[in-house]
Amino acid sequence: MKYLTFALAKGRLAFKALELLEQTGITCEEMKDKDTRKLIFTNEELGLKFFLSKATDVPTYVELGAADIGVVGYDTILEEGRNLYEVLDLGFGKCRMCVCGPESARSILDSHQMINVASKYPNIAKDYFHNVRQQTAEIIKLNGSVELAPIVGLSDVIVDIVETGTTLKENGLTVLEEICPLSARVVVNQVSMKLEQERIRDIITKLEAVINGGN
Amino acid sequence: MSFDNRIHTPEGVRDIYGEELKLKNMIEDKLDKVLKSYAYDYIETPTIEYFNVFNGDKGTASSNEMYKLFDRENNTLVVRPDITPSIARCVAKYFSNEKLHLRLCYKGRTFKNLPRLHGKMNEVTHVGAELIGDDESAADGEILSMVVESMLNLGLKDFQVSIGQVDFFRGIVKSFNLDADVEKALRDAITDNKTYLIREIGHKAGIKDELLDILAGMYVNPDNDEILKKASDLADNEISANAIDRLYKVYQIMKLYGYEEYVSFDLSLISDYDYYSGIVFKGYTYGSGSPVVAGGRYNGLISKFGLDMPSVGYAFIVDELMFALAKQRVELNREANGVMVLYQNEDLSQAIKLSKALREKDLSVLLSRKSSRSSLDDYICHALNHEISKIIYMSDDIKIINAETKEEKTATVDEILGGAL
Repeated sequence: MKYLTFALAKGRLAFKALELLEQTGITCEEMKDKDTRKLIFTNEELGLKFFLSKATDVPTYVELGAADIGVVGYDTILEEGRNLYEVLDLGFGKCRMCVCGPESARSILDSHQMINVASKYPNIAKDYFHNVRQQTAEIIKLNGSVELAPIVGLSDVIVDIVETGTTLKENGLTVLEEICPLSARVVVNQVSMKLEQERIRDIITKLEAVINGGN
Repeated sequence: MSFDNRIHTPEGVRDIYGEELKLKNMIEDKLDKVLKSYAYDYIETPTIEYFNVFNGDKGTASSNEMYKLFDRENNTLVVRPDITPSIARCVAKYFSNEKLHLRLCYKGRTFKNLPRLHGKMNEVTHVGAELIGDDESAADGEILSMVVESMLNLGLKDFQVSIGQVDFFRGIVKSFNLDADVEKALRDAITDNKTYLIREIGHKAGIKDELLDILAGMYVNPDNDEILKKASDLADNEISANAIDRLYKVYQIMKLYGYEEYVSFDLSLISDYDYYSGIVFKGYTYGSGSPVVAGGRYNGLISKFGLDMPSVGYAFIVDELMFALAKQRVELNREANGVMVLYQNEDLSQAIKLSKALREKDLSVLLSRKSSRSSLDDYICHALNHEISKIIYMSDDIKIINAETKEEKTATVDEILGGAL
């Protein structure tokens, strides 16, 4: 039996995904050891391998076939624009991709004049402003603490993930527009999906049953 | 960031040489063998064509994926992103009076301007075939058999050819009266295999769960006949039923060729292009993250160039096959039957005479002077790396050295030409 390899986005998503997988009978004891320095974990019995990677790299591993299955946020899938099968909405990690800024920036959105947008997600931001809003936008790519940008005057607004909105509020920012809802998704390499059809479909069906049972 | 671009190649293209190129050539030879054995004729089309040959969904590349340039009259040209549209153009131009079927094949490099740093090459080699003028299921079967035979010839054991039929989905769209927006949303969801979205859109449109499972590729059955039966039971409209009937016929042809075990039906395979009008297929194997071969029936393509002719074909992506074969460690039998003639200065005239005579016997001969700075072992090593099995070493006497075993024997020139190698 060939190994099926899972790429999981590091952090909360991976933790939740493993929990969900465990409910379907897929476990990885090795991974529970918090002190381990291993990079890749194996379940010999089921012929499965798991590894953690930076979220933005998960679609890359899966598209190029280094991993068969990936668990990653919809934000990353949209931003990376890879050629993948996106087979399941896991329903957790729910949040929204939004345009945020000080209330005063709303007039720039309304007037459709040129706007400065800072974001960790330049592709999503560009697609939204150009194709949906049809507004000229100067996109500035940042790598973290995007909320700073409008505060220090780097940009008019930001495009970022909003979960509770607390950080925004504390910094005098607000959600101006919602771009799309987000959640964790299961992605599959297109070749793996065909060659390992039965095993992968089986995992998906079981995960689906757990998700629907939980609701 | 600047670098010395005298020695580098641009992003997305590369040099192929040595062992890798040998592997590539061998793959192309195996594909070529199948094309010849099915009596296909090669056709060569230019690397650069007018933009209009590929634009408007005539090929697999979107406009912003094409390398564009301008000619002296300021016409937009593209470096071809694939070859099928060029063949269609040729057929419309040169073969309009053809009474029988046309069997054309091609080999060439194609170019796409893909996003950078995504791990995909912008220049890849396509080898493909087109069977033109034949709308029968036997033609579909011939093309599919050639695909299977090519994979087998390459020594691949674990591979699969998935076959769909675009009219199956078309029939469903029509019978449920889906408007254009819903159709596009559903089509995109099926293409990306978004199961949850297929269900969501399907439920709103009133499509049954079981049928949606088939469109989502969720219905898995190792028995192909069962898949077809289930699909035809569920889709009670004429267009979808005819589509399934066609697949059934193609399956019977595959059985006649004896290749039925390598194909499977997957009705989630649809196409974004409206000129696809029948079967669509993709071939998969381990080691390559993308399909190694793709194709289908495109009866509407040649008419875009002004001649109404049905056509079915396939294209292998040689570069993806190289990945797969290297990862699977498939050994393509390489014959080491070359000869090295190694001489010292004073033997030059005799060495050239001997090499010429051996080459006339259709042997591959590497003629080299033995440098005093390199040892005999260096030459043996070099021979092994270049498919050379025998070294004829001319020193005081003439020795024949077996490159693998290092066994030596002496022989005269006459003995060598008489077959002592």
